[in-house]
Amino acid sequence: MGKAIVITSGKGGVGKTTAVANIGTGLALRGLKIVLVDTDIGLRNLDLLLGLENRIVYNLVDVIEGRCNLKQALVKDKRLNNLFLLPAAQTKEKEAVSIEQMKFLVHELKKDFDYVLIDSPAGIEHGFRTAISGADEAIVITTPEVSSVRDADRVIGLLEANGFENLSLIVNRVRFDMVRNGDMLGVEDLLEILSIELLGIIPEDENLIISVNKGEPIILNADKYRSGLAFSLVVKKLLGEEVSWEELEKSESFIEKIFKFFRG
Amino acid sequence: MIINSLWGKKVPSKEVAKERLQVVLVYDRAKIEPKLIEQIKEDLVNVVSKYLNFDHENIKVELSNEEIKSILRIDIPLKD
Repeated sequence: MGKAIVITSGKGGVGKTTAVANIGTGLALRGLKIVLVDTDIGLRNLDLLLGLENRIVYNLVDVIEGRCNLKQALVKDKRLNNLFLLPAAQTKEKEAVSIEQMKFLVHELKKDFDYVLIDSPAGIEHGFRTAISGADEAIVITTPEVSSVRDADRVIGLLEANGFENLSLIVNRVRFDMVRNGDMLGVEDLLEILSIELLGIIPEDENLIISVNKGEPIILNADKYRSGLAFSLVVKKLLGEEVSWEELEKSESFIEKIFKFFRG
Repeated sequence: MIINSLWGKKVPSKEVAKERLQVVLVYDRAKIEPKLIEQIKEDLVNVVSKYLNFDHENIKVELSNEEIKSILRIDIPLKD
């Protein structure tokens, strides 16, 4: 039996879907069999981040309503043949999937895959409760902004109330230069405020926008881009390996140095 | 920048953010609206003034997080 992990945030636009696409790709690069489940019904996006938007035939709601079987609805990744996507329905309502149905679906997927990564919709309503229902563990993602941290705290409270014990935090869009100047909450501040374990730090990186434009998870270029490197460290940590975050801050200043050199 | 240095030491904005967050999260976690604390304060002033002479200005009612519990802390400085 594999493990099901839900990625959630409360606030929208903090990088849940990007995180799912990259962590999933990263785990698949390690040779593990991975399925990504997009539960954001009506606001499907995980397909776009993976560049799979043209390959969707069936979706999660089709499976639940019996129009196809589970295997038919899985979309195989372009690059990695051990990575699959179960897309959300784009034309249905969030209420189309019940908690019981989601639990059953995730249970079935766990039989065939090492990891089932569940992309949760924003908010704390039905869609969120459904997304977390089948998961064994939860990853909370936030940016260092007060609004996003407050929503993360709310989500952490709800996850704990739902019996989740292994919660961990990814801090997205960190600008180390602003943290150093005292103008951005640092990772230590966030861990203290939210009292949660750290899973990863993703620096702000314009290359991430370019990779999303292309539909290529940036972790495929972990050697070139610092956000790609950062996601590969998340994968390492998730697999229980030793991780040093200093590497990340160093990589930023190294790249900055190169840029400065060429700009003169 | 000159203005900042004229005013002396500037509080880093992340410290402001941290403090505001810590306060708002105490209320969020306890599921209490800040307005309720004001009402408690008013009621306390009315009740306690029936029995004691105290400094109305410096009464303090606040929520704080201690260890795993939220605590409602009330400070009523008495007059000599």
